[in-house]
Amino acid sequence: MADQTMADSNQPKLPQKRYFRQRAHVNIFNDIRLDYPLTPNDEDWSKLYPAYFRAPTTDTLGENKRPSSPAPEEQPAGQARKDQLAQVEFADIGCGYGGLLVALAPLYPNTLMVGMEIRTKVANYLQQRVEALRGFQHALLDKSQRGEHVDLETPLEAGAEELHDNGEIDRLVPGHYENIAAMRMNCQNCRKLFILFADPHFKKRKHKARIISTTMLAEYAYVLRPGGIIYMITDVKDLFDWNEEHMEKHELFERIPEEELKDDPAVPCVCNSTEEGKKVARNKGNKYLACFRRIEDPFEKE
Amino acid sequence: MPHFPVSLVEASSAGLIALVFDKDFHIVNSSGKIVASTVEGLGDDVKLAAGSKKGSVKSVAFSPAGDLFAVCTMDKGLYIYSTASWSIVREAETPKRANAVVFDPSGAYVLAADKFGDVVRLTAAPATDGDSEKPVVLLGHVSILCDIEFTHGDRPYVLTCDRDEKLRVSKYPNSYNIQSFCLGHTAFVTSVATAKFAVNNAVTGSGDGTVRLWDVESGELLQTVVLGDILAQYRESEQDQEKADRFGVLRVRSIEETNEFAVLVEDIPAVIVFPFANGALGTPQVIDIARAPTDMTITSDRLVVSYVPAAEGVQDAALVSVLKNADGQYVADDELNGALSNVHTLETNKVPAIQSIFVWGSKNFIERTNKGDQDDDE
Repeated sequence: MADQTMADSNQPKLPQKRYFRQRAHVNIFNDIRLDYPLTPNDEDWSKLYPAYFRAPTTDTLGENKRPSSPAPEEQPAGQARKDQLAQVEFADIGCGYGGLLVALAPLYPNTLMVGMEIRTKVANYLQQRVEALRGFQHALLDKSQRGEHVDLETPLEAGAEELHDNGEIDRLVPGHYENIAAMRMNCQNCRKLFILFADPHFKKRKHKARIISTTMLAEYAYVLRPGGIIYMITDVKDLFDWNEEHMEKHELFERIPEEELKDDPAVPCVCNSTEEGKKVARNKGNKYLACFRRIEDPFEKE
Repeated sequence: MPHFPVSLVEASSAGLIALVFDKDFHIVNSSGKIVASTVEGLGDDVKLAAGSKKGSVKSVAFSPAGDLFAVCTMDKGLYIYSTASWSIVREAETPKRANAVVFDPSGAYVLAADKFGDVVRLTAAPATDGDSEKPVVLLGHVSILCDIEFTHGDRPYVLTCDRDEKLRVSKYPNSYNIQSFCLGHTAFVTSVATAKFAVNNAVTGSGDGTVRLWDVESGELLQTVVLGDILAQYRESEQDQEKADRFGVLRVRSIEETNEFAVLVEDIPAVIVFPFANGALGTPQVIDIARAPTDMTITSDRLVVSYVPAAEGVQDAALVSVLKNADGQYVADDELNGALSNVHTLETNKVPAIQSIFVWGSKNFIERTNKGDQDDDE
């Protein structure tokens, strides 16, 4: 029984949100101390995705530690190629407490996703949350290896948010949350980019700080591969109109018709899984969703 | 009374050289004679150019054909002069103060890169009656822009460098489409140069003490030159260790005649000239100059350098001087220097202190109280 006690004291603990509160606004134009790699090749992804990347050794520094070829399309769980060839393909910009990532993780078990959050405490919370969730999954895996019963069979449903969007602690999920991570940042070849319930910056003079602007869209277009999608949702109509206007005007994006979105498993998560999204639902607020596809530059075709 | 130092020098394809001092400029020809100026009373054969007379001049550029001259001032004025009449043919206000200005390769537009990270574009052709076109935003960084330049290939790219270590390569005119980011500098990138002899390359200078060669299409860093290795002798007597290890590039320019790149470093009384061959920067020549420089431009095979004010009590110190290429070696152009010694700037009670590029280049600059930098926005 000594064994059992040991296991209990080693139980991972989820971080408590109340210790990580921070005000909702950050003045992005202040010089903020950000720890960012000199070039994409200098990022040590092994810290964020230890299951997918080896820590860099001196001879591979700046060379092999970054993925160089696209990750294979969705594969069945458990067959991920956990080597240096993986790459981050989804980015949730302003991920907050990470509800979306935690919900998406089992839906795209072989896709690496990063949440970017500018508020230090909130980013720390999410990273601790991810590490705790991985801890639970590891404990469950150990248990199943010892021959004890572990629920592996019940399939996850995209719409069943209450099931999994706080993170599974008592059953195994595909991907085991090894595929999500948080970064305090403001990645290339992304497939999906999420901008959900962004700071509305109501005052006109603060509009330039909004996360969607004509000039910022050029950078989002740069990190998205053609065919990649930006998901944008907000409860503020004024911000939605602003975002929609800027996105529709931009040459490198086209609106995705609503019919097409019905089959997209990410959409229910986008609407319902974020902490902000739940708050809006509790307050019976409206949610305005629009999705845009990165297209080839029409100017270059001429 | 002391005179204003020349803060900027810029040469046209037609051999004219603009010498900028405070709110004014002289235009000298290739024999060192003033042909136009914003200063009155210089002589009958000097055309009077209308000055903005408000803000100090922050950046200037000639059009590729040399027929137009653009001036951006500290108070957000953008003035385009005809170099035939030296009258202002178009003027506009830029949304923010422009740190650098350039004409596009066709000469049809002028682009201003501002301290808020945006590049705005304005028609360059003379304005007709009732034409009050406003500059429109072409692209933007979330940073402070330092310099802007075009590449010289069939499909030119517009290059913009910023305070946050980046050189961005954008297509043109569809500049919403980013070609690449050139990443590797570890401090602000002050200057970028391109050349007809290296259409796929850019050379940048930075506050990190390096000059770097890039492939613009891929954003790949091809070469890094550490200035400390070349300029150590100039720092031997420097007591302040922090200053001794610091090399901030003021300007990088290409010398088309000789396939070279010239580099000017803050506080270092020398010009560094790199030969460019086989796709790489070769062993440089380091040529001593009179004093610490403020700027440098190239006119055919000549380097024109402007200087910081001379120490008090020094008489007849040159405002600018010229180096010419003599069989591959750069030597003083005595003839032109002689003519330029007759060129004077306006007198002033107090010569404005020249701010080190490390002041605004520092990441703490925005959070600091705005001493010495009166913020003109908001």
